[in-house]
Amino acid sequence: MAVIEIQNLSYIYNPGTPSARVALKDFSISIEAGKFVGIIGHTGSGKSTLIQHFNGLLKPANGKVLIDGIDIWEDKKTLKKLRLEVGLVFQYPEYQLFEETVEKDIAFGPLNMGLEGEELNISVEKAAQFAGIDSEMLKKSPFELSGGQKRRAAIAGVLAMHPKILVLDEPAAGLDPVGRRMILEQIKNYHKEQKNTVILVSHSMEDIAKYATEVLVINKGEKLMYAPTNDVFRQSAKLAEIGLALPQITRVFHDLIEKGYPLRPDIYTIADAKNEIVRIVREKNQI
Amino acid sequence: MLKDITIGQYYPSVSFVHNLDPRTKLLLSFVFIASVFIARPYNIGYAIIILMTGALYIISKIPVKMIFKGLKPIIPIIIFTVVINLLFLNGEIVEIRWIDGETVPLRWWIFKITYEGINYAVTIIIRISCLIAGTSLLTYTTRPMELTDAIETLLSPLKKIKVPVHEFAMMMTIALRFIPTLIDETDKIMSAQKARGACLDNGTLIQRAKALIPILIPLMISAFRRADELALAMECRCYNGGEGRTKFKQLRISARDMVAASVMILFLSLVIIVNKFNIGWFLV
Repeated sequence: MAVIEIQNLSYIYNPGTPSARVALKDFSISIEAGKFVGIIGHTGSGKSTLIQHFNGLLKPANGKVLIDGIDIWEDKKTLKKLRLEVGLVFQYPEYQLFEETVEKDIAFGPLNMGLEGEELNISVEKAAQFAGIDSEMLKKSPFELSGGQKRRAAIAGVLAMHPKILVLDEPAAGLDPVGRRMILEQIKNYHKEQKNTVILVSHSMEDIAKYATEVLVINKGEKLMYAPTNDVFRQSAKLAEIGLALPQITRVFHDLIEKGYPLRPDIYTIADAKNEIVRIVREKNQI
Repeated sequence: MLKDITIGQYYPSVSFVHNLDPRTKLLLSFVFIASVFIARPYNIGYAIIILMTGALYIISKIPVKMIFKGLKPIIPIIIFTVVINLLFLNGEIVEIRWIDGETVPLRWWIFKITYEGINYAVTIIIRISCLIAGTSLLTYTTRPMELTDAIETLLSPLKKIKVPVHEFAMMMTIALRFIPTLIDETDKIMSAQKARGACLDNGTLIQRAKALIPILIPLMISAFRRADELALAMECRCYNGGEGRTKFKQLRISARDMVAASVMILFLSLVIIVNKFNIGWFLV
């Protein structure tokens, strides 16, 4: 069953003023439960606008947003409950930390949900564990942490709410490669263990290729493609048309193929690339 | 929600008023304010003021609905002062004559409605509305940077008595420049905390005040961070105050400014003459 269903959604920023701008037009998509969906598209293509509709932060000008088959704007009372089921991690989430200690900050969401006592402690602890925050860090002020640690603390604050759907807007932006991999691996583990739906907005084709099972391509507020990751990357011409490049490793492979190496063109991750190279080296040795 | 604030906003357009020198606009705004205070409601003075305000908006090519948008936030203040003046001002009490010839004075307990009160209430409504509308026009038609430039040049004689005019102007420029940035930032932080289940729009007063903490603390921190970064960036580009600093945009008075000044002085004189000779009192 579709956990998120968007029907003919349109959204306009600053309607009725000289700076009015259509961010999404007639957008429809249906996302199945348990998927790891990557969203790609240019800056200003409507990615962030779209994900803010998932938990009702933005109200569509037209169209419907259904979570678990329920129209979230039908009844205002259900809106708050649904908002808690969709955990949204904004870009640069570390700027929203405010509590005295990391622990208290992570507990902010669960407290708003009405969790108490042991239940609260467990959810905070588990979220911290998933985000790679140790007990020593939990007692520190969030402002003493490094950039990457802050980011993880902020993500833990959303994980602690046990969202059915976890939406992350560029969670790895501005981090070094180690911090990047750490955060994305933790999200992947969380997805594997909790079997929830994860939606990841990213500019990095490499990250999308590595983690996402499906990819949604947005261009100028419209859906260009929504398909399994490999199917999307196979359409390299279509992606190039809107100025999106394939993962670096794929481009390297395409160049090698042009030079006459008998490699497969549908290689999108480093791990696959290694296997493919090993394969052709073995084949060569056998001959 | 926060985007509704229009005070201090620039309204991009190409018009006679937009093209005026910011110094002219600033000084003429004072002329306008003076005229509003000089005019009296007993004669056609206020009609002239209202017509002038409308005319200025039309010349500036700014939709008249912007006047109402700008007035919206101060409506409660206007209503409050009007009600207070209407009910408490001393003077001749209004009497209502019933059909059978009996007259009833409008007073009840400590409240009373007097002719002076009504008069004063009308004065206040027109005066505040025209003041806000007229002065908003200055910011609607002038970019914040131009405005601070104008203030700096106009105040520059004060440098002689060691007033740090340039520094004040720079501080104002920066403050104005960061208003939209901070509004955006507040919007973002509010969304993020709402996504974490923060409840911002209901509960008791104390609950609501407490709900602001998760928004204000990140906002303060980011404001300080931005200030720090900006200071560093300015130092990196060798900023060291006003001494010897040249200007990218030179302010120049043109014929256009002369025309505008003449019109406004004519307008001021008209208001003064109307006031002095009480012209048109019989109409009101």
